[in-house]
Amino acid sequence: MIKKINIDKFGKFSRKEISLGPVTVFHGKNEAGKTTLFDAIFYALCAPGKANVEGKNLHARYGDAPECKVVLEFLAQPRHYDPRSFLDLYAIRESDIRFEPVQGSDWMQALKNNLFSGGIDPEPMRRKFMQRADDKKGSFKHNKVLHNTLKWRDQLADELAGFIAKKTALLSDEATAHQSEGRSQELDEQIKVSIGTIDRLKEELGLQDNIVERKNNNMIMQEIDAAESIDRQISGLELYQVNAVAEIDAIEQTIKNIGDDVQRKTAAASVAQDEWRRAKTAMDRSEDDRRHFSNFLSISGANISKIKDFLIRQSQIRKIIWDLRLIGAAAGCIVIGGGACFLTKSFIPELTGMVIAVILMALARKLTTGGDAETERKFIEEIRSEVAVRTGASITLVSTTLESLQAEIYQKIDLENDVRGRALTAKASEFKQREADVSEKELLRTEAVELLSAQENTRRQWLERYRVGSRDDYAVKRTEYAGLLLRKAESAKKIQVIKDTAGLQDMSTLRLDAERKLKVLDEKAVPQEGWSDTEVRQLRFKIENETAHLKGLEATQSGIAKDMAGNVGKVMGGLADIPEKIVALERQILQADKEIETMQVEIKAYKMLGDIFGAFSHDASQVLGRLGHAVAAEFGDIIPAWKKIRVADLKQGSILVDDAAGALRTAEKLSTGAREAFILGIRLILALRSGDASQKHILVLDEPFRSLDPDKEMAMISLLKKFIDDHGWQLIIFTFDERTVKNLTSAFAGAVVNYL
Amino acid sequence: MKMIHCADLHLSEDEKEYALSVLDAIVAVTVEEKADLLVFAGDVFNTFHDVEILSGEFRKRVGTLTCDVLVLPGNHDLQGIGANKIDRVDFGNQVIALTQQPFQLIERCGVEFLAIPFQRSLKDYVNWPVPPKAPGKRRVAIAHGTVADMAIYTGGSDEVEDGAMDSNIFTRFQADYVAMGHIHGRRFQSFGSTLIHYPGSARVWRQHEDGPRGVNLVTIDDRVAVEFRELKSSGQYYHYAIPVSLDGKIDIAPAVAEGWGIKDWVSIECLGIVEDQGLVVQAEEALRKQYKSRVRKFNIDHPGLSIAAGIAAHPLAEKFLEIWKGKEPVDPKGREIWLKARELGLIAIKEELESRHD
Repeated sequence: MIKKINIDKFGKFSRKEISLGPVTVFHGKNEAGKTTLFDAIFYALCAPGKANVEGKNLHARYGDAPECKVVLEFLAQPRHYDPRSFLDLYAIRESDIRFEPVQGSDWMQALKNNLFSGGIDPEPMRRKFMQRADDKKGSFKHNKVLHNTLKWRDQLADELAGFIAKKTALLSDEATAHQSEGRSQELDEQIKVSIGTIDRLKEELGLQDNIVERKNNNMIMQEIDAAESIDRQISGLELYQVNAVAEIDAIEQTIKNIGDDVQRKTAAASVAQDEWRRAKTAMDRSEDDRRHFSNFLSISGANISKIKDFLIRQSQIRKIIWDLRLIGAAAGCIVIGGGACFLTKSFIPELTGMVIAVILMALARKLTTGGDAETERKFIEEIRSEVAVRTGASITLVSTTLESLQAEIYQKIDLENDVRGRALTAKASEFKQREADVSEKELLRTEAVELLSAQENTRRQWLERYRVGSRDDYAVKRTEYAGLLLRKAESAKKIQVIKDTAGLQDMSTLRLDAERKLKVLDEKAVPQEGWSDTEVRQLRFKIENETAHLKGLEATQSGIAKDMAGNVGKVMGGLADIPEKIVALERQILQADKEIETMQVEIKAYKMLGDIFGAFSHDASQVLGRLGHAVAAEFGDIIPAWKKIRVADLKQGSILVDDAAGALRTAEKLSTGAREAFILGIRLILALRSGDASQKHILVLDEPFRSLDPDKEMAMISLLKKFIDDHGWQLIIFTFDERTVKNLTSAFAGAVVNYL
Repeated sequence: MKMIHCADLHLSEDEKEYALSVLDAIVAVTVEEKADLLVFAGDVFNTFHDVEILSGEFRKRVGTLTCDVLVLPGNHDLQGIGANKIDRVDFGNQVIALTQQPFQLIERCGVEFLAIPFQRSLKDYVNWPVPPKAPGKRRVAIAHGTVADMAIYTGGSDEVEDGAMDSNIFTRFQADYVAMGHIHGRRFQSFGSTLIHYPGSARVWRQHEDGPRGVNLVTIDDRVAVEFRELKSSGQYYHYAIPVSLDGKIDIAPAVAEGWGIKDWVSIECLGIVEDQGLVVQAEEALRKQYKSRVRKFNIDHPGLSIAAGIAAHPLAEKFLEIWKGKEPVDPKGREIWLKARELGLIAIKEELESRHD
């Protein structure tokens, strides 16, 4: 706020000091110096130079600056304005109420920005967008990147095309190289003839080679078949993978040991049985003997008693003889008549019979002799002698009479009976012993046989497990299995050699290859058998001779072939890296394309933004209609009829206003008072919105209400008062009219009035 | 001869149930088409560890087939500890594991199969002793890698880095049909009389694998005919870039969400500028809750979202958005530019405001 004005040598003022308040009214008649003071304030606030119209006018009117002096004292910070902005916005003179500010000034742009863009000027943004959208210039970094990327993409595409061309050329070279191989043979007729000869020989050799190849491939097929057959056989003999011979040998050994034992025990049992049989025979015999003896005794016992009696009673002899005749015959003697004779051969050597015979003989003799002692003695002598002879002197009779002889015989019979009894007992005892022995031996043998049977069962199971009939069968299988393994190893070696030779590691591929080759050979009708080695050697020798003969020509040809091979090698080498390079390039091109696409989308988006922000500028005058809204918002209750003002341009004639009837008309067509009041409103709004709204400015009005009737003046003062009250700006008003002074001082309490 | 050609199944322990359901679908289509052969052109498993864990499940499933099954190792099957033992893995009786490096030639169903398992470098292929094709026979190559001549403009994929090979490898060795694996996108191309096919991954393995998943039904007789059979049970991958409103709203059209299946993988990327990141996080969480159980995977994130508090109320931003809305185009490309303009415009205003505060 300006507190004081010190003015010297400015127009009519010299050494004058004027105090100011928030609202200051300068009152004076015409020529009192109101305009000079206005100019002095303008001069002090804006210091206009001679370069602009306002400065020139001021200097023309008041002379050069050194002679003029206006000093302002401010309450707070001093304030200065751009001359154009001050005159357009903060100074309102009678002539200015017509409202024709200069377009394009800075405050105008700031006003637009403040009104319509939140304080941002869209124009520089638009320019920036348009520059970015201009992909031809490439001056911006953004576009430079695009141009570089496009260039890079073209380079990549060229490089890719180069590789593709190289590949095509290499493949073409390869084809050419292969073709020239054939052509070169046709060039030299001489070589051709020579080669023809060699070819014929080679053809024959080729046939032989084919035969060899057939044999080889047959061999390969056989080897593959053999290998597969071996595998099948091995898989059939897997049972014999582990050696179980020791196991069966151990079983066999055990069987053998037990078998021997069984044999021994069987022999022992047999011996025991023999012994038992012998003992039994002896016992039986002894028993027979004893029974025989007993029979004789029992049969003859009664007769013997009778004999005894007879020996006493001779009269009964005959009868006894008859009774004894049968016994005597059994004993080996025949009693005939009164005599008796020995049947030598059938004489029973045993005592019983003999005794009976003796008795019979004695009886017969006694019958004949009739009891003569001498005769009897002789007879007894004869009997004794005869018995001795007959028994081999084993029985010796000593009696001399018949009675004693009889006694002696009885005695011997008893003795013999005892002997036989004892003998039988002994034999029976031995028999029992032998019988026990046989049982024992039999038991041992049975046990051994059972053991043997168990082992044989083990052996049977083992044989069943290994599906063989014998240990030897198993050994045969084992040998067969081991043989197969050996064959497999040999076969594998052979197959490996075949694989390495063929360069094919897969059996199925190998088989397919061999089959195919054989098929080809079949189609060529290659025979199964060919020449002998000697014949083939001779053929080779012929070829070598022929080859040596054409050495010079062939050397040339070989040189050509070598060159061609080199070319093919180069082609192959060149081709090797191309796919990877092509893929890498395609990848880079793809990436470049993506980047380019992104950037091109951005460029087009910037173009759209340029258009949109351009529309802001073109739209500015239309949007200035907001000024009308701002007036309505600011002063609506004071001038409510003008709510629908639209400002077409910042010229009075371009301000369109809805009148009370709703018709649109230019501001000029309004009544003077209404137009002036409205334009004052516009001016105040302009001043408010064009600058920094947070600052309190100075409003200088020079005769603003000159043409207004009292009612309209009051309306204008009300409008002004509302503005000053709302925004707290400093107000300086110049007027010639007492009524205006009165109206102002009544509206603004505490207003300072300076009379000029 | 009819053959099912599939690739890049990536059976893994992580998503066992889903991956095995795709395998079931492959087995089912093999049975349905009465195919004579099922060919897996690599990456049946995600890692060798998964081979060890899931080979039993694989065996069980392909064990129901009556035809032969050819399995070629891919880079993923050979990834991890113990992968050199892959030729000892029991894949089942009718499975032929084509593990032999650098190539293997077998014959099945009267057709020759030249198997080329994954290998980092194939530089020496010109020297391979591959026997010439037998007269009158057809030859199918099975390989896992990137055919250089086919890879251009196929979209980003990590796989292209390894196993680069030239189409010449297949023309040179007289293949009529080449059953490829490795590139997860579906594509094919003819080189002379050689037809090279990638059926694409049989399942959705990772983000950005969009389009239907499936297998090739290949009929080989006098000529080679190829038909693609979509596997519905594999689901699909869908990606949406959705601009977030300044107050954090994420607008998913109900009609779009109704089209999602339980096997699908949905990925949503929230774009643009927002006043409060917390609101976006909340909106994302709400959507996650709503859709998580309705699809196989539901990813939602806002990697490139800019934050500008209070911008919505700024007059310039208001005016900008008002005019911007009036410029909404209908074509997708124009829409992409339009969305980008919104993002860049708001960011420029935000930066302008920040510079004024500075």
